Amino acid sequence: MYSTQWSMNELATRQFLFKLNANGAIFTMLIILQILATVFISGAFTSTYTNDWGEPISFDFTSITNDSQVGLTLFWAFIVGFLLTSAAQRNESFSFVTNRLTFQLANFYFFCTAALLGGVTTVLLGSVMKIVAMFQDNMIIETSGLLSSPLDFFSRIFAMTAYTLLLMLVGYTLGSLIQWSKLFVALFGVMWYAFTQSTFGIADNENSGLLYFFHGETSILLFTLKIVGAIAVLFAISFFVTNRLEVRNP
Amino acid sequence: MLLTILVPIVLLLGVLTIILVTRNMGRVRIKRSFHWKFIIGYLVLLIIGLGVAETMERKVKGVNLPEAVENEVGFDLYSAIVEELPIPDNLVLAKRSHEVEGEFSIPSFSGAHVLIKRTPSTSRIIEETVYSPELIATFNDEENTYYDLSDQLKINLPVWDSKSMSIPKQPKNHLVYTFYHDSNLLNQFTGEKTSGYSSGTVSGVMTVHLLIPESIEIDIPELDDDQNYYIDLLE
Repeated sequence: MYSTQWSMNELATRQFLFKLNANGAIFTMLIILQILATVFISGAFTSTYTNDWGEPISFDFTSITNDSQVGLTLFWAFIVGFLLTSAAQRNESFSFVTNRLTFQLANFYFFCTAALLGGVTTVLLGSVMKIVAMFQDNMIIETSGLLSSPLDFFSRIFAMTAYTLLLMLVGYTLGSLIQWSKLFVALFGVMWYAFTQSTFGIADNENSGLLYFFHGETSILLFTLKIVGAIAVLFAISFFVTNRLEVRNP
Repeated sequence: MLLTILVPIVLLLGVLTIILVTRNMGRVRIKRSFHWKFIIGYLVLLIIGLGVAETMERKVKGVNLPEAVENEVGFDLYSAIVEELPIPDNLVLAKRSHEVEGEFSIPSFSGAHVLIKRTPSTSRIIEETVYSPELIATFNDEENTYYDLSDQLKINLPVWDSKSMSIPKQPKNHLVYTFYHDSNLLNQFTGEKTSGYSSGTVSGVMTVHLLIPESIEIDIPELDDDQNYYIDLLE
């Protein structure tokens, strides 16, 4: 008998706060990656067209986007998911009187927080890129801002957060399976090959494949359902796998 | 194939780098509070950036590109002149009259198309109409929208004296446009997806249409394809 009875949610929340405090470096890493993407990969590309009729007429169309920040944030998300399956991370949880479920829940809370930070910072960085574009010649802004279209602005944050969370769960599930058996490294090699071939390998394949399943969805409700479904499946797999791991795996 | 091989290698290198950096951060003994201060500082800066961008968007005027009327894109100027059909006003650069003495000559030139029509008149006045080349650009082929940038072209008009018309060397035209758009991944529900494709087409060159009375003798250079000039004597 204990004088204080903790609920499962309270335990998971305390463990999540501990994880948040212990993994501050992960968020610093995200910021560094985003700054690097902004400074070194500005997302600007220029296409020049020249027509020569005795005298040249040339066009420079410079396109500035936040594609590089989006790409690096998703890359970071995948690695963070992977990182949280390391033995060191698992062993840390035994400092608490917890069980597997609270451990998984705490990880899930952590992913949600990290995904939200990733989503918000990436969309906000778009404004910084917009400022850069506004100092250029003949500037044309094709993306509406927060005040002109608030719903669009928040839908961008939602989409980015959802993709970041999905990528984290993919990395987490992958890491869990590899922790369970190293044979999965080979299996994932095969799966990766199949994925890239089905998605990018075939010409005129824009409207099919796994990417299109999510990215091709125009209804926000259906997109949410797909993301929630995928996350539930991935989370269930990683829960199933981590339950079969040794308590301490040095 | 490149993607299949390259991405796993990049991912592996990324995992290793981040693991090493994160571990070393522990050794460097950065205070935990540093990370949170760093994150909050970054968020504050981004929010300030958002505010600045929103304010600038209202104050800095972007370019409003004139949309081309669909049936005027790729206008057949030559046929319109020959068949004396109406020509859109935006293509007319200049309409001038010049009085000439004696024989009228046109020295060799490049970068223009001269159309000459003889008129049954005994006057010494040549009517000149200069037409601009058409510059049409598309910035997003998905929307299939064309923009008419003809007025952006710098053109040197023909130079006249009492005996000749010479076409000067045309200035270099270098047009620069800068676009900003958020990643298509973010714009999944906004309908602001862009293909990122842009292109420009220039149809024709400066066209000079001359109405020369039959009483004026003309001396025009012989047609030479290599020299890239075109003179047509219309019937």
